[in-house]
Amino acid sequence: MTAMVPPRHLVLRSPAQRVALRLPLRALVILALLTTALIVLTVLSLATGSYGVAPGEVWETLRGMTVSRAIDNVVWEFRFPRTLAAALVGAMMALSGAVLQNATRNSLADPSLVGVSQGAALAVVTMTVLFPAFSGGLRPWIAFAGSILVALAVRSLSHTSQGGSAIRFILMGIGLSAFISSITSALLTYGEIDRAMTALSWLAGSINAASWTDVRTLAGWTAVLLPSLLLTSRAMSAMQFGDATALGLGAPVALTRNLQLAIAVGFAAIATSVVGPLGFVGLIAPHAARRLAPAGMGLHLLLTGALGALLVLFADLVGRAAFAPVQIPAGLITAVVGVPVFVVLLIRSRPANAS
Amino acid sequence: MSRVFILVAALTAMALPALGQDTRSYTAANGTFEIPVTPQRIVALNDQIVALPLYELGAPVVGSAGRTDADGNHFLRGGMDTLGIDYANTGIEYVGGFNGLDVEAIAALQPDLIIGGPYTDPGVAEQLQKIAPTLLINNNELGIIETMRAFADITGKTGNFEARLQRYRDNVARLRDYLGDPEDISVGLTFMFPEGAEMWVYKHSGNLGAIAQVVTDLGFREPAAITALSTNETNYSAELIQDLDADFIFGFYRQQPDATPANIRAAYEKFAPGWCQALTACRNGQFILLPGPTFGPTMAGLDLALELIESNIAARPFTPFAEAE
Repeated sequence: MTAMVPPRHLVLRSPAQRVALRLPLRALVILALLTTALIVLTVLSLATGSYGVAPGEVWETLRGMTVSRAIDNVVWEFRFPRTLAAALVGAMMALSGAVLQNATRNSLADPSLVGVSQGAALAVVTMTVLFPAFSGGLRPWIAFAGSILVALAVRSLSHTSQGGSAIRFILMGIGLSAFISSITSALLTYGEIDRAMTALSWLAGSINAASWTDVRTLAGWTAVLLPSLLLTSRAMSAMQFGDATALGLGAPVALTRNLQLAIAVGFAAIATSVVGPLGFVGLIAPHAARRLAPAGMGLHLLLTGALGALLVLFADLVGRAAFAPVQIPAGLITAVVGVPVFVVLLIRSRPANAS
Repeated sequence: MSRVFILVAALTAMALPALGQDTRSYTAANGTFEIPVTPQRIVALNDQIVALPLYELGAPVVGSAGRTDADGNHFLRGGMDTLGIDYANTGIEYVGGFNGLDVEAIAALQPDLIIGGPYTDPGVAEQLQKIAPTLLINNNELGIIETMRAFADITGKTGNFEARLQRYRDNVARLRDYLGDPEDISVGLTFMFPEGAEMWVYKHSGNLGAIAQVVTDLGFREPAAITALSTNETNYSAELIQDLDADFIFGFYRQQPDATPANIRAAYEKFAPGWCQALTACRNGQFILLPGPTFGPTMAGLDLALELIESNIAARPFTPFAEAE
């Protein structure tokens, strides 16, 4: 099965050699390290919180033994779904950013570029400020509808008789996003203060209300969207060299781009609908993954997803535990932690690029 | 041995309220729940709107959402000003901000009842149901009196509340007699931040707590420009400030270190230069600054607002404002 291993790469071939994978060892090692870090952080997240639960009690609770009803609640109903939701949301936002950067060939693309975050924000703020009685259980659906509507509007407005162009798509996204953000700001400014404060909490990207229903939603959509994305990764690799080259290599460029945009919007819309807009993850994670370990598109997506999960899981843990009982939304922590890390990565990678 | 006995006794005492409580059904904005007839450990999900009125009623509040100042200290908004209470001088524990609650900190307090409102994240309220019945009381719809009545009912303090309310109503009737025809006196309500960046105008039916309730109960007239507003509270244009003119204008400000009466007057000047000359109420000394506790949603807030109106309006000569037809 394994044959002709070039230095620093692992080559896998299927028995009939219909599929061959050439995987850089460094990226595999980094992926393994990130996965280990994710597991460690998950354990730490389950063992940390305002309610004093000894690690042994957490372990017994996870094994299905009831230490007390209160501890059962804390571990199973509060910490576990929150931990899983944080990781899943992080992975989804990161993957959305990676796909958008590839589809638009713009390294600054992220979910806010195509109006997904702004659409969700406008929908939720409108309901919270103007129709507070309806904004409870319907919130994820309202956010999802807002995201999808705005993404579709950007897509259709940027489409011309000659087809769509990446630059037109980006410009339309920026313009429409700015317009939508101004409406959201007006609602927050002129709405009743308590309602506006409630909406602001959601806008900051908070995972504190994550439930098992949210985890099932996030996991279900990830199970559908991630394999679909990985199936397009070969065409995505070709598209990195431009549409003409990709077409020359036989990649179905138009189909792949439409599929990519649909998947990117899906990832971001689902994640945003559950926890609110999480800034920077979709921008930072793909770049960080690229700088940590250059790899082919498929492995790059996995690295990006793992990094996004790690970033948001860390942000949520710090936000809920570092200054407890003060709760800091994960969205603020991702910005505070993520941006400096991103800058350091950029600076450290500069000499390597220059050589 | 004695230490073990004390520990067991203490744990038993903590557990007893939860174990042996009689319950009853109560219907709140978020549904019908079985709640203790006499709650022993209540967590309030808002300091000013829930914790203060509950504490005033004598209900056992063990935890409350609160605010955090620039130095990182937690405080109950309006607590020291209105009732002289804060986290430091009560047994109330801080459980996060009203829009950033720490559910585990709430669970650690072992409450038997949790009370929030429309400002409570519905997802968080669902989580809290797993700890104790969590009632969301819609104070915006109920208004200050009915909200306090609901709190009294929930906590078994109805007798206490109705007695204080009756005294307040008697004082309102007495003041109406002093005023003569309050329906002929127009009163405007404004709110200013010390930064002077924006000014809010409230309808008498607006959500400005005790003072708006008192103004309504006394039967003052609302200036036409305020009646014409489409919402209960409006971020008002500086260019239209003269439209707010009335016999009396009550300008409220939140009590905080940088919000002194002098700073608030300066903030009005910054917001709308020449504002005092533009308003006959101000020119004639009938623009009255009132501090934060007068808009707190408590019986103490109602009593204070009533007293301040009595001392500022009743039995004093004033220059009436003739509103344009």
